[in-house]
Amino acid sequence: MKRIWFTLNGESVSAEVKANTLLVDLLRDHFHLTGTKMGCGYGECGACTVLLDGASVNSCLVLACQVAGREVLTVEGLSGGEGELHPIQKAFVAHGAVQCGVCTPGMVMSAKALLDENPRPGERDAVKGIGGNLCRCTGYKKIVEAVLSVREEEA
Amino acid sequence: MNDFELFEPASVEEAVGLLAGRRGSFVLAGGTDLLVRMKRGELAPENLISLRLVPNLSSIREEGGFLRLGACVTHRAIERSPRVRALFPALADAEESLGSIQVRNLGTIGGNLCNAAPSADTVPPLVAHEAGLRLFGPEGERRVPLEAFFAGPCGTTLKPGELLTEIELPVPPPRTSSAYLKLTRRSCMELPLLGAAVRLSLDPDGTILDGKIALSCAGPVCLRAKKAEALFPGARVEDDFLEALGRAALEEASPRESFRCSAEYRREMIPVLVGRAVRRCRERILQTGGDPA
Repeated sequence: MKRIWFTLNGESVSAEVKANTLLVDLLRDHFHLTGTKMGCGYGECGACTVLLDGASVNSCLVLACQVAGREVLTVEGLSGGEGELHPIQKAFVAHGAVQCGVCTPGMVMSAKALLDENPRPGERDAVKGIGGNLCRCTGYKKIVEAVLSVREEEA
Repeated sequence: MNDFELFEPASVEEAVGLLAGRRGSFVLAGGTDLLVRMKRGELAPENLISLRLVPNLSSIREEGGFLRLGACVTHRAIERSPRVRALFPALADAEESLGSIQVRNLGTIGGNLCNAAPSADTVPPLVAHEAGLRLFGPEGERRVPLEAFFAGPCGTTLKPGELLTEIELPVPPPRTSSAYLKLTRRSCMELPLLGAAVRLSLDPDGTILDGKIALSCAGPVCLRAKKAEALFPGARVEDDFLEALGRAALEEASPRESFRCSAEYRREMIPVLVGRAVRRCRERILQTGGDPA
């Protein structure tokens, strides 16, 4: 076991982890941040997407030890202090971009990474931005509309 | 995943010492291939040597007529480098087509090369640009051309304890461009059914001075179509020439039948992709007016 320190959703935290503990398991089992979903476990589905130093990554393919000293943002870190939803989350609600919901946190985090980088994405950018996230309900159309509406509202 | 010991060395020398001194050690770079193989139970390393804290492996530098990519530069960083886009557009094409953004934020160019998959997207552009590798091992440093690095599917000529530290790309001459085209069934999260990288140099009057062709999924390792390349000097980018070029490249290829794609379809598409890649190179040269820098 090894103790690591890192920044999680803006707060300094520490945890005892094994060498083979994955970031997704640390987030869910130790910090009880179950918004991050474990889907395929092989980096194919994107349900476990979090931002690591601002870049979207599959948390099922990151060893917990490797986030020492770095910043992790999960879907729980998006909303404001009073539990107010982030504009991206509001857009998903407003556009009905949620069906079963399992892909939603990952989709929202990919959308966050996209909009941080490119505040005015076109449709093609939005499609590419969520290319690593599978929606098994195939609700992509509304998800893309939600992402594009954030751009419009902030413009 | 199996239990293992994780080492995070702070220098190349320390990493090589750990790698050479401990049996059952694997290098961990981005982890997007290694951890997947461990989860599937295909590998159970006793030790992982992480390169995360080794300085200078994640930088892109331009010096001495070369663009130098550290082995741990992520696919995403290469994709977003304006210098890569300007000087080695085929590599930028390959990087933006690889996996997903999440995978590209983790996966590294060195990892992609050392896994040596016949379908690796970064290999054909690097071969077409005649990249060289710097390898650091217990006996010091050596350089090898990328083409000499591969030894069959998923095999390399890395010696025990050796580490890939840098990829050296020679800055191309003026009026040169490159392109990588990838045959896929969908636009994300996809390995190529076939990949074709072409690098082309033109005379000011449009005559071809020189060209290189590298194909993935067309043989056990990335295929350099040298007989086809011999047709480039003095030719012009016209239909008849591209047909002959495609046929020549096809004669050198030995694509296999796989569950992802039939050999027949791959053979059918080799001349098509090669021709399209040559045309794209020409368009790019004309767009930049011949001076990519």
